[in-house]
Amino acid sequence: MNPRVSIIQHVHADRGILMGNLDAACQELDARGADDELILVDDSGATDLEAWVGEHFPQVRVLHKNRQEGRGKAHLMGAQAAEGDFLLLLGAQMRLRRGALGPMIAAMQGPNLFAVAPRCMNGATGEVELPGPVTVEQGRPVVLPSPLAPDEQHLRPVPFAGGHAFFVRREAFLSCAGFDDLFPAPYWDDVDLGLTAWRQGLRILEVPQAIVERHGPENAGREMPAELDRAAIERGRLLLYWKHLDDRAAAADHLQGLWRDAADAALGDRREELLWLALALEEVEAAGKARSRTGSTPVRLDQALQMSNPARI
Amino acid sequence: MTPAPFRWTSRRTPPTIGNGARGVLVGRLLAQHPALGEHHGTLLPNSSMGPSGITCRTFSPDLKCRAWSEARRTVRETAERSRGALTQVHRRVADTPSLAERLERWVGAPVESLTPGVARAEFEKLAPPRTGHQPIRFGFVGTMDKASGLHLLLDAFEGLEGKAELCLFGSGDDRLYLRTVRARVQEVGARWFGALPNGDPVRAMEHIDVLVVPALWNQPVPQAVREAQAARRPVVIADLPELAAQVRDGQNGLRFEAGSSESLREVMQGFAREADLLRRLELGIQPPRDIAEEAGEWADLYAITLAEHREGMEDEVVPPHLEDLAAQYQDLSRLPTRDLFARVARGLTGLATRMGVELDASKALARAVAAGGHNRDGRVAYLRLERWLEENATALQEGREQVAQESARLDEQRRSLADKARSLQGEARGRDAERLELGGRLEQLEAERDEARAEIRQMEEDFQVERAVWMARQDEWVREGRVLREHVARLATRLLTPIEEGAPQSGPLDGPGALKVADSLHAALKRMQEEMAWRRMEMAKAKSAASGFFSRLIGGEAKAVMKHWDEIPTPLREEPAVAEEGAPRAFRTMEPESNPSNAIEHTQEEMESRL
Repeated sequence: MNPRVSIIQHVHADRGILMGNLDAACQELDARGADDELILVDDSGATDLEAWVGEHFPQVRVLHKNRQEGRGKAHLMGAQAAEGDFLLLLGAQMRLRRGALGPMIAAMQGPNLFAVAPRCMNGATGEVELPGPVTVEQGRPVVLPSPLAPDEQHLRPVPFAGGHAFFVRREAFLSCAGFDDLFPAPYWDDVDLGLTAWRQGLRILEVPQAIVERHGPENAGREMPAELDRAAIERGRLLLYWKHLDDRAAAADHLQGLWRDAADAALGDRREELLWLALALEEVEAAGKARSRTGSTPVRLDQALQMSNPARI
Repeated sequence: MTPAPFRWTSRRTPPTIGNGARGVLVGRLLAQHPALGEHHGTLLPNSSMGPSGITCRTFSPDLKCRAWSEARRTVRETAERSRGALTQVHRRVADTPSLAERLERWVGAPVESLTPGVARAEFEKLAPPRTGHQPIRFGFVGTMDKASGLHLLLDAFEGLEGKAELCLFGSGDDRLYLRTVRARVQEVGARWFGALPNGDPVRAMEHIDVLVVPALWNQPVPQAVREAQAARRPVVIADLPELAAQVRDGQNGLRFEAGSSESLREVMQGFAREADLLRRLELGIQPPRDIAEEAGEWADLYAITLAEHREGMEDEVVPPHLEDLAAQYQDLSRLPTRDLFARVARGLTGLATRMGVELDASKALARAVAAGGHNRDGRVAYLRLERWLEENATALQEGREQVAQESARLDEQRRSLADKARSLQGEARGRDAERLELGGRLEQLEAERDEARAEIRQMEEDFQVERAVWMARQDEWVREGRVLREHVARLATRLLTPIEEGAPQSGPLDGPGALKVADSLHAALKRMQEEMAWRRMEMAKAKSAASGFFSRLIGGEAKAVMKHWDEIPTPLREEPAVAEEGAPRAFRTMEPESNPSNAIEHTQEEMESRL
């Protein structure tokens, strides 16, 4: 039996890009000929989007958000309204390439799979965006560059599927309530979801045969002052680590390291670093609660990082 | 002679428009007297050079005239401009809280205070003030103008009892005042040091035990007061509000009535009277803040101001779901660094508790400081590297020498190769030129060759045509020769047979007739034999010519022709010559131009001349 797929596309602003994205998605669904659906979650605040979509793509459902809440919340809203067995969650700039769904559906038949990630390419340059391993350096999680060549064609484990494009079972996504609210900015939320899955004994694979293209500006949907952008990244980095840190000795070392960083930043008058740390420390309670929500995890953090390394196989 | 005492009769008045207008008018009035120099709008009333009468009239509050209205407008406009300028900046800072308060009222916008600091380390190196039996040294440091009240200090010092010195450091641009004061310095026996070399206040403090600030206007705290306190010198100061706030009377300094030289002298006299007063006041001095602390506070202020300024930028819009994060960021940005650090420290303590890690904050901070910053990591790494370098210095030195030798050898090789390359390039250039020249010449020769070939082909074609003509003629001659030979043979046979047999065959031939015929035949035969001999000789010539260039063109054909000539039989006997006239054609002598041998010779000469 052919499983149903719900494509959920987040809409932010650019209607020209949206037109191309919807066109590509509709063609893919028509080619499959299954009872799939395409849902548009309008996070743009535009009031005429529904009418515009109804005119050009009558088969597309539009969900309108009253308040702009970002990509994570938009995808959760779409998932809650979706009826498919699988969800393909796409960011506002992501465009499906013909034939992408088949390999992802096939890959999801493997055991203990939480999600698969399509291969992401820059629509203008053709440059491949390969996910690299996640590691911890000087008490902070870091996503390293991928060790793989762009022409790699094997299924590979990846620590996370980028929040802008991933394929997941609807039940699995809803059971963890989507992305964690601890990360309101579009940074580290996808890494957190991926690490949570790996630590629960599930896997995430990249499917090179399924391709999505990125169109439009790199920072579309997250335009904000550069300082705040950077602060959101660094804050999220620390909160991610605090949520997943599971070793008492490592925690003690980490804390001592943070004291040192703070003293060094204060004495060196690097106020930004103090600000990032202060911002993260404001959310210690929230990080603790998020940690509690995750529950018991059979896989340790260091094991999860090791298992999810794309170069492992 | 006792000099006339200096008296100050006017004190600075509150900054109202009226007072400002008076100042403007006085300033304009005084400016009309260049001899006053930089008068700063003030005048000592008993000065012999001052236009005191005019001054009194100008200061009248009831003055109503056009100049007065203009002065008021000037003051108002100047104040508005100043206020406008101050309201446009992002932050306003004053030296003291009271000054900040006054400015805030005037500007109508917040004004903060930031206390200036002093490079304390420089002053703390100085020896403490002198005590005991040595004369006490009073000092003045600063700008010397009428408002400084230096003349009051000189008056007070003049009447002082006991052993004391007065040292003056500074200068000013009010030349008249300076001249007057210098004269007074000599009169009262003070010491004039003039402007501080390189503005070095430490050196000034070396020469004084007590700083005197006899100011006549409520100026912001002079830097000299802080420097004196940093050098542990008590300060005697006028009791104007701004200044008096800097000294706790009787604890770290003393106050006197502003503008009163008697009051000042009384206070100064106290040091001579009370032996341990200086020591006691010195002990009460609290060091001022350090300049590094002030700099840190300025840096914080700048950072906060910049952060606040960024908040107001219209082109940077924060998405609604990140507004809380942005607000949090802005709140934290406004904190001075020390408060931000304190917040982080509290947060880290909370994090440790949340993680269940027992970590004492003070110990953690001590360990963090002891561990040093990330720069220290770099330094440690550098030291390790340095140690390793020292340990491996010999090997590295040898290696370096080897590398140097190798480098020198390679350099030499490189130079040699470069020379060789240059030489080869020169040769190549020469060969290229030669090749080009030869190429040109070859092309020329090829053109000439092609031209010669074309000519040869043309000549061959011409020759073939000519040869065909001659061959046709040759065949005709041969044919005619055969006919002639057959005819001669028949004729000879018919004539000779009867003679040889003795009887005529076809008719009677006798007597002189027969003899005549025989003579005629004999002559004809002889002529034929001569012709044949001549032709053989001509053909021999042609044959020898055929061995040259022409032989290639004639080849076997010439031989074939000559073969025909060889076939001509030689007559057995001489025949009588026949007269040329009326003889058959075969017996006629050929004309030179119709002789084939001559024609061949002509052709050969022509061709050789053409080639």
